[in-house]
Amino acid sequence: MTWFPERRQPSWLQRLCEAVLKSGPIPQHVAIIMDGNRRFAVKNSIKKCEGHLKGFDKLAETLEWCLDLGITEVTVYAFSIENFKRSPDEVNGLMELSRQKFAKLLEERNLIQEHQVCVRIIGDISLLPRDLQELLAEAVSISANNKRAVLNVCFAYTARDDMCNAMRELSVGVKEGLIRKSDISENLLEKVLYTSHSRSVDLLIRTSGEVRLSDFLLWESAYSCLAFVKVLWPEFSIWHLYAAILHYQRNYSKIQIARQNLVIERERLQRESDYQSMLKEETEACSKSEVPTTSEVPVQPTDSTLTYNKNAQALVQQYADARKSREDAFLTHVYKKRAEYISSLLPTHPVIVKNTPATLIVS
Amino acid sequence: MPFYALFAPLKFRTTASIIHEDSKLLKKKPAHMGILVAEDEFSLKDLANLIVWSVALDISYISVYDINGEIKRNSNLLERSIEKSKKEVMVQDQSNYDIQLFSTSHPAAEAISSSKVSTNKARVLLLCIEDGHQKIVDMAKHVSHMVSAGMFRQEDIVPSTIDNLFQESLQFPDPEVCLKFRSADCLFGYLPWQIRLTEIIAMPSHKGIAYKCFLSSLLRYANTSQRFGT
Repeated sequence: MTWFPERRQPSWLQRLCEAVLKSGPIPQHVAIIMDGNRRFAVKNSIKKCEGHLKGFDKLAETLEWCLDLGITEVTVYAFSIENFKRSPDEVNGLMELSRQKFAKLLEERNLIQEHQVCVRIIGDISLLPRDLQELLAEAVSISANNKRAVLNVCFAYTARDDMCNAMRELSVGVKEGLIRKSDISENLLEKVLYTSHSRSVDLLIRTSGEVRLSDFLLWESAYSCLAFVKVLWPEFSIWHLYAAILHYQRNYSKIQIARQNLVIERERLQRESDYQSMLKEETEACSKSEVPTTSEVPVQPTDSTLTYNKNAQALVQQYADARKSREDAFLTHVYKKRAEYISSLLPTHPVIVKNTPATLIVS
Repeated sequence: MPFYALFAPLKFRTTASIIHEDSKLLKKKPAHMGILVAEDEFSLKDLANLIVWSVALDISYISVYDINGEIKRNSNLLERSIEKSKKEVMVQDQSNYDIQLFSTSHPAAEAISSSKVSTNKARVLLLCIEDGHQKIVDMAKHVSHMVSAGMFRQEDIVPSTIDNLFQESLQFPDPEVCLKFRSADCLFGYLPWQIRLTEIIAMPSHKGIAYKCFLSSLLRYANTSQRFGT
């Protein structure tokens, strides 16, 4: 089955529900744990791999429902690093399915451009077979400039691995002097996660009645609305999606308040950290110049507290600006490295040449 | 009101011996149970009951989270409520249970406080927003310091080693189950690193929660099987 199924005419009831839901807040970014393909296979006495195939079809269908509702970003948990522990047969089957589906996606590249869907891969794809890596890289690169909707596919992913990867990037940054240890903050860490280019996750859906996150988006879903749905993934219907959105709307205001407070708290922590770092820098500078005779040294609040405060504020601002430019340089470096990795996987011949103009026109 | 209802309070009083009997119904028990309170108002009495029931069920690690740290700030009051609830539930053998309150800001100070000989030790960790994302940032700072100082190799920054460091700092295993007393279906920043495989069980309000309701949520946990990716 294709990634872009023929559009079916929605029933009047669906149109009604959609209209009602759209009068409330609609989640911008929905994350889905598509659980239950194998149980579905057992239940319907079909082969495991057919269960996974049904799961894929459901994904294509769900993406369409999401777009209709105005959900512009969807993240799906396709394959966890832990899934490598499954039987070789099943792992190979899943790899083969992914190969076929991404090859199909590349075949339908004109449809990707038509729908303006940007595909991103979240995870450590170096763990995958080389040919699959190449397919994924190509899908990412041909769709990189599409703006209407984003599909994040978590492949060879676990949230802890992602967080460790971020810590590794930060450590290297500190070691190489691009950033300082004190520059590390929630905001900066978030920007080196694989999901750095995504909006915050508003709604997380897990099917099959399991009620845990299983190492999926642990950092990102700390302030998301959780919807645990009883049905197996291939049985997921538009009505379940509607119910999940209704659930999101019921929880919306409480979560929104917590998120706003979080932003304020982060800003407070950042200012505090900038202030402390500035003080440290100043005292170090003073002790280096040894004889602090001049009274202009801002650490001495002798003449008047007002000018001192003014000076201090200016110094904090100065420090914050310097920190921001360190962070920007560091992030540019990290993103460049990641982009280079993706392009290193791309086929070196005609295919790119054929595609470059298309993306250029789009941008 | 039917006649027998007059005896209800006597008959159904939850005591340690009843709880002990019930504990045999649980096929598995969590080592660490999280209590996440996402409600605007708190009832320390009910929280204390939850803690004491859990301890009577031999759960030795309990964490209590509220985003604003309201419970953490009122740890003294909670401690008193726990003492009171202990008297009611444990009846005779209350001295056998030793419940210690901790928080990440003062882990040691409150720990030494009890030197009594007791058979059942339980640790209660009070958490708030600061113990969420911020602790992962602290870990990133710690690790990057170690890497710069040549005490840690960057290749060693992998989930297993980092998890060991988290375990050392918190002195708590990961929660196997989290009872989420809600007004909203959200984790509100509860232990993002540790929540990986936690069964998240949605509960109604914690206010006036009955023992049976608490037990049934643990039964639900005991009856799930996890597959760890396979």
